Amino acid sequence: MPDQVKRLLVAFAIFIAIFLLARYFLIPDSFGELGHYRADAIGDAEAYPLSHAGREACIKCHGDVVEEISYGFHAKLSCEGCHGPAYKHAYYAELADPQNFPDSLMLNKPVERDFCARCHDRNRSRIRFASDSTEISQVTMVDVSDHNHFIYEETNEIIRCVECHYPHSP
Amino acid sequence: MEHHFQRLYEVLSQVEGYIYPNEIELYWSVLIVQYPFITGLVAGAFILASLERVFNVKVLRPTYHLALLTALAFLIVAVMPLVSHLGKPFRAFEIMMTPNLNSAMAIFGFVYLWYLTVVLLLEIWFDYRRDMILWLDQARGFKRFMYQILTLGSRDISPKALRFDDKAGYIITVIGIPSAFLLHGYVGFIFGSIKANPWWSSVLMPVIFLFSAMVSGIALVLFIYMVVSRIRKVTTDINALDIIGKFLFYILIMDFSLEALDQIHRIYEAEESFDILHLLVNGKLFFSMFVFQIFLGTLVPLLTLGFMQFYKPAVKVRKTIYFIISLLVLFGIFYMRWNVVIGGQLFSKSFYGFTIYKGQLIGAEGYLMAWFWFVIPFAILAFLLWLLPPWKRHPEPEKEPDKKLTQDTAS
Repeated sequence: MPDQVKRLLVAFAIFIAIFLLARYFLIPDSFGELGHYRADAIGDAEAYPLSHAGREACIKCHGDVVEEISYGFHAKLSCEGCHGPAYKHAYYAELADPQNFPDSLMLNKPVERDFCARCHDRNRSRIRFASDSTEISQVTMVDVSDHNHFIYEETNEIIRCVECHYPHSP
Repeated sequence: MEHHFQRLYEVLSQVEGYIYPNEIELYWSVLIVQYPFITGLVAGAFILASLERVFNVKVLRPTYHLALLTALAFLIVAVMPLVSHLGKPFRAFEIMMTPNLNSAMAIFGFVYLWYLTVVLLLEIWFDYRRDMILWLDQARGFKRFMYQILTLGSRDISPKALRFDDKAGYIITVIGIPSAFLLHGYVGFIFGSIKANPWWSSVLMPVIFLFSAMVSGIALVLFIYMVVSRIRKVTTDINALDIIGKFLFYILIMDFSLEALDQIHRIYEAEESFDILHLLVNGKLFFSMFVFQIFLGTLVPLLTLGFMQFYKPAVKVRKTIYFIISLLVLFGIFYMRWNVVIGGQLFSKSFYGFTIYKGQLIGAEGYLMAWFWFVIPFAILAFLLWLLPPWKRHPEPEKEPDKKLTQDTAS
């Protein structure tokens, strides 16, 4: 074998050895145990602090509201979709006296027009048409900037959706 | 939260028709245009070099080493636009560390590595080994240091060793041609295999990418050869230019025919995506496709080169024409990549809407960054030409075996 090829093979061997060494140190131990990913990643994800409690937690104290909502259009919505993540709220409620509930753990009660508009504003990408050209949509859509555009003289504020539509049973 | 809604409404006012939320922002930016463009230049430049070596087109001798070094300079940078595009660049190495055999994109890392180390570096090394050993004695300082490292301590330039170098170089070039086809065909495959996108999904895509790569690589070597000759104040070899022009002409015909075939096939099939694609090419892609890619980048060079196959103007005029054509072809192929990459993301998969692409000038994904990765290969090439100047190579040893020199070095 010519001298230059021997040297070349040594160079390649060093390169491959560095690669294998880097591989040995860099690949996490649990890689490939369950699939083409690091199995420990599941544990890492589980260790993140929880934010959401789920509807079951709400029922414990607010059973009447949960029942009320179950008859209306919003029956399938998650409580936390409007009121925000409730894990800390529910966790504290189980430990402490509900009468002395700290304000910092109280949940949102969004009442602004813009909040309802997140789902109900008119958006042409959500519209579908039936064969007779009537609009069909799973979500009722209104032009929020135009719909019942009443302004209170005293406060100069626009009327809020919740004044006509009860959010738990709209 | 309010800020996000405000931003969403702002963006929604810029899209047209029905569009899915994940299509509003166009994620594969100008850097992803740059990536197939630069990779194509590498494959094309290498294929031009292999014409001389394997197919023995002697008249291309002046551009042989230049083409190889150009391919290397651009290959070193080829993946950098991708790395810049990644939000977490260090994760790029994970595709090498834990290769996923089911992913075409992940295996590209190995295709790239094969092409860089086994094909290009080895070929250049075997080609320049003798010269580096001879230059080592005269060189000083950093240059000497580089030659010492690059020769790997080998000082053997006996006729036997040189015969081996030549043979090894030849074999590597033979392996290199399918490898160059693989490298760029692969880039086309990545786009062509995305079945959800009717603008990309075509079995012709790898072949089209390959031929457009050859076209752009040949144009680049033509351009660099003329510029380097001007800087060195030597005259360009008009015979070499004519032959390169001829190859460029032939391959341009094939490239144009393949692309036309792809479009004609699409028009004739007229699948459900046809209406939106029709709107796309006549609207948002009109300038970049009809004017830049097809007219300036293909038809003008094709007609001019075709005309020059029958009538040859004076040498000076021809050189100017070749220079302009090389730039036009590079410009056209860049826009071909643009039309594929950006065009494929402009329309919605609902086939009823369009988004927009607003390029930034600065920033990690801006035009300046794209230019940066296009200019860097020229700087690397300048360094390579300084280190391994093709014009300072020693005469071929087969013709005049320099025994004295061999003995001197051996002792």
